[in-house]
Amino acid sequence: MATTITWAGGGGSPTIQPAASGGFNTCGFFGSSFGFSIRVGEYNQSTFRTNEAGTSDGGTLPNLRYANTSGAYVGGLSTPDELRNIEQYEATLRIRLDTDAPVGTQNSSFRAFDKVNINNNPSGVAIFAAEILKDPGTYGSGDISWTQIYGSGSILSLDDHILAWQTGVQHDWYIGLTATPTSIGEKTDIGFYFETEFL
Amino acid sequence: MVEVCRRVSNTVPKNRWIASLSNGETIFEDRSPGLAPAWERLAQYVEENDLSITMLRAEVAGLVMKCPAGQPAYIQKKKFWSTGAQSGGAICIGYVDKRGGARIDELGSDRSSHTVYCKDPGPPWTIYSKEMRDAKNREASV
Repeated sequence: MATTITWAGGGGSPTIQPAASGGFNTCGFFGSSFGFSIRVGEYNQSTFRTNEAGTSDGGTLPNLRYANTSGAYVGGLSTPDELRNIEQYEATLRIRLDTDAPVGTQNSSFRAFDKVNINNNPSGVAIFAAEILKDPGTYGSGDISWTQIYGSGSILSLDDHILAWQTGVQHDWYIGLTATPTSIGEKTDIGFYFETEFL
Repeated sequence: MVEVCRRVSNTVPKNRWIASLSNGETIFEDRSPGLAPAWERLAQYVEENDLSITMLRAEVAGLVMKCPAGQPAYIQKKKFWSTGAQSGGAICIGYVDKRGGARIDELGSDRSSHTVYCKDPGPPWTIYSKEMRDAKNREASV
C-alpha cells in the first residue's frame, strides 16, 4: 500500500474527492444553508463538501462558526463552546495519513492559500483555524484559540506524533475552520494545503 | 540484530535512498512489513557496528541526487502534502556540515526539487558519524 492522505469531515465522512474525479473536491463555507452567502463581517453558518466553483452540494461537513478568539458555535447551537472542548467528530476536517510501515510525524502544518501558490493569501476572505482535541475526549489537548491562516504569512502548526506510543501506520489530525468574507461577492480563490514529514 | 537491506529486492521502492557505509556496505531503503522504517533501522545498525555513513544518495523518478561524501551527519525524511483534491510526496535527503548547519534537498516524484537550509533536525531524522556520536557521548558523560 502506498502512502496516502485523505480528507474528510471530522466524523470520517463525507470524503473530499481527488481532483481527477471532477467532483466534490473541496469544502465551502455558506450562510444558513447551501448556496446562501455569508454577509461581510459574519461567519459561516454551514459548511459543505462541494466542487471547485462551490455550485454543487456534496453533503454537509461539521460546521464551526467563530464566536470569539477561543470559542465557536458548534453545528446549529446558539451557545458557544470553548475550542478545546470541541470533540474530534465536530471538527470541520479530519486529515488522515496512511503509511505502509509505522512512522512518527513532525512539522505537520495546515495553510490557506489562493489555489495558485501555497505562499499566497486566500483572496477576499479571512480564514481561522484550530487543531481540535489531539487526544480524543481529553479536554484541553487541542488549540486554545483560533489562528488566522493566510499563505506562508500565518500557518497552523499541527501536533508532532513522534513519541514511541504515537508512531503507527495511521495518523489523524482534526482541524476546525471558520471563514468570514472581507468584501462582498462570491469567493472561490481559496484552497487548503496540508503537509507532514516522516521517516 | 537489526535487519537492513543490502540489495534491490521487491521490498525496495523505486524512489529510495541509498547509503554507503564506512565498512564498504551499501544499504537500500526497504519497506518490509512488520519492520520499523528503514532509516531508523539503519541508525541502529551503524550504532551497533560502530559505523558511519560515508555518502547518501536518492533515486527519485529515475534521477539520482547525491549528498557530498564524508559529512559529519546525514539526514533523511519523507514529506507528503495534500490539498484534499491533489497530493504528492518527496524524498528529502541532506547532511549536516562541519559548522552544524543542515542542507536538505526535497526531491518530488514529479522531478521537482526544493532546497532547505535549516538547523540540524537531530534524531531520528539525522544519523551522526561515529566520530560525532563519540563526541556527543563524551559531552554527555562530562
